Amino acid sequence: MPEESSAESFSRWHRVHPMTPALKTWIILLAIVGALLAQSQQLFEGVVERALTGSGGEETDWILARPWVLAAILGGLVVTIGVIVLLNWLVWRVMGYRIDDDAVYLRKGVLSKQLRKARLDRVQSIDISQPLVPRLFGLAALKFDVAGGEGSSVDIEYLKRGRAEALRDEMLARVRSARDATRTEQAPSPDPTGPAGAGESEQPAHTASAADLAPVGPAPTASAGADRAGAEAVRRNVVARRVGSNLGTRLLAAIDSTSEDVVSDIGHTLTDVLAPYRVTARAEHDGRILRVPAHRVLLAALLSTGTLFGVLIGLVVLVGLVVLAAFGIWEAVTGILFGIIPAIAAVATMAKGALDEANFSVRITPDGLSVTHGLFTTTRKIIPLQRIQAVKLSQPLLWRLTGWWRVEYNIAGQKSDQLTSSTVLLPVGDIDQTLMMLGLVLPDPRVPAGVSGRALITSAMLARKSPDPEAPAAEGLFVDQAPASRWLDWMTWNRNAWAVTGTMLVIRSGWTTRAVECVPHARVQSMKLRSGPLQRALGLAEVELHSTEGPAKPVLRHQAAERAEEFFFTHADTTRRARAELDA
Amino acid sequence: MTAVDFVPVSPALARVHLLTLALFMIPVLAAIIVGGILLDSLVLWIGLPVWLLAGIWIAVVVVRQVKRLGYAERGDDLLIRRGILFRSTTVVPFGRMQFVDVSSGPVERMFGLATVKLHTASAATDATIPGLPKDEADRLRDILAARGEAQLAGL
Repeated sequence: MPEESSAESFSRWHRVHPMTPALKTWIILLAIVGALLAQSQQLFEGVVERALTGSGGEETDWILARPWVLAAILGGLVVTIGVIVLLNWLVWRVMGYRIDDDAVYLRKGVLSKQLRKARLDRVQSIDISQPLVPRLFGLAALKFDVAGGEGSSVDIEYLKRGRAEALRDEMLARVRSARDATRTEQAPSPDPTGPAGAGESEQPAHTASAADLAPVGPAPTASAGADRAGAEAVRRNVVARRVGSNLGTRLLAAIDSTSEDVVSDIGHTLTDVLAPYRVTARAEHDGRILRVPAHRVLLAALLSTGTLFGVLIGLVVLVGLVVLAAFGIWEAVTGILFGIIPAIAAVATMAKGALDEANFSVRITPDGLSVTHGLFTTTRKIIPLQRIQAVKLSQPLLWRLTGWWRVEYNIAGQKSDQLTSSTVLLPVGDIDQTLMMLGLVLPDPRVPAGVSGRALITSAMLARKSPDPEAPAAEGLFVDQAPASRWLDWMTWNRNAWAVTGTMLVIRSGWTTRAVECVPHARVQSMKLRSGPLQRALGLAEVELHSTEGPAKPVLRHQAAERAEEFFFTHADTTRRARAELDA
Repeated sequence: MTAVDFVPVSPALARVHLLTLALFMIPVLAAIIVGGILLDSLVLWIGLPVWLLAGIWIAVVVVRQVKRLGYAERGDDLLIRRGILFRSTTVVPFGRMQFVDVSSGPVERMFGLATVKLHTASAATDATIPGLPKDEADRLRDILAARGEAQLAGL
């Protein structure tokens, strides 16, 4: 690498915070300290007693009469602490991270050495995580999430919070330029097949200049940095103008292309960008557009279907207990009490989920949507808008009382073993917040005249109960399930429906828990047309759309066979054109 | 589906399936007969025709399934058709293909066959074409890889 020499300051090994090994094993340390204290408790008590009454009991007197025993005890204590500090130091000494132009490296391990590497152009997201104990010391971990590969994330643990944040911001910029560089290398000469308009035909040149001006150099000079930012803004603008790009990308481009002090104006820009959804958005001075207070998340959890069943079962158990107790059958009572333990565990799990989603707030930053959540352990992550594949809205039965919805998303490169909360865009929110978050991650819906995006989505959410003035027209866009499917789908055949707009497919489903799924055409991976024996007997078939792993699993259930087939082949064509448009 | 001509997979795939089936059915059959003679158990003697019928039925289904299994290369995507009872047609756009696997199990190798599997970014994509002659499998892999690269779309 020619830049290596100038990259010196950045490409050497850096140390993490010296407390790191201790914090990673704090439970063991706590146990050791606890054991020592418990051992010497008697002695302490004895000493206190002796000071007060003149005699601290036989044992204490024996010990205090022989100072070398006391010295040995204290010495042991000092040696133990010394050993802990020494081990901590040994482990800490080999821990380190290094960042060069291509990758992040992490090394650790005294006996078995480990070296991990994450290529910068493969890094999908960089999150800051603050577990409870490190948080008490003002420390944070920086997690580099890498596409593909199980357990391949590289975690720098722990750094001072401020340093972690600074490093993350810097790394986000480097990851972006590393990706641009890779893209430029791979990008073919201007694609003649693409429907590139006059304005867009300049795009490859701009991308190239973006990479030339900013060779992922370590410490770009101010002017180079400004040039890069400018070129980046141009590229974003080009990307954002494409039909299939989601509105959030457009918003970021709009913010980028105007001056710095525009942050105060995010609300207006947001409202403009979200015009199809008729959402009036407001933004705080720091770019925050949404905050879900802890009490609302807790109330929402209480109103969830799981809680409903839990309460019903709890009531049954309670009544059972009272009856049994009244008859004096105490053995059964204790049995049932033990049965409550799993119920308590379930409630605890639910409460933990709610606490993790509490204080959910969303800010608009130049890198994407920045999401912070958690009451005790705060997690902060940036959602890369360009990689969102599908969106799912859901509403558990009791949320109908409050009109709340939940928004989740599928994203490319997400590992299946990650926490479910990491795909949440809005844990609970009213219809305007729901539409705002949905609008940010989906492309302009491109609905026919006379129907707004808002009317379309409200019809998808509330079916025929939609209060929107354009609801009848919006409902006209939806294709219902075939009537013959009532034999297979007793409860939902009347609600299930789908609608195709210029840029996405909207699927309405769910009976007790209402659900809406939106899949942009350009994001469909593959499709499957299928029919089982029962379906064929009724002249039905269904189409499955394959998205990346996540909450949304879009299926057009039980359509008339010819309609399903027609949709399957038409949609294969639609998605091809949408991909070409997005990549043009 | 009228406009699409599906290329059937090799009929030898039926033999692969039948051999695999036989390798499983025959030891159990032998055990039933030996057990029936030694123990003189009525249950085992009733089980014998049930086992035989099940084997024959599976054999018939397997042979028919192989006849139905086919694929079609179109301009921008690949179609795979399969199934008798549970029918399905899968479409995988070339621009969405991440990579292509060619594999060949021991029984498949005996008949000179291989399986081609297409992977997209979605785990739900189940696009497997078994029973391709080895040459055809390699040709398909190369073509798919080349087309996938040419048309690769951003996620």
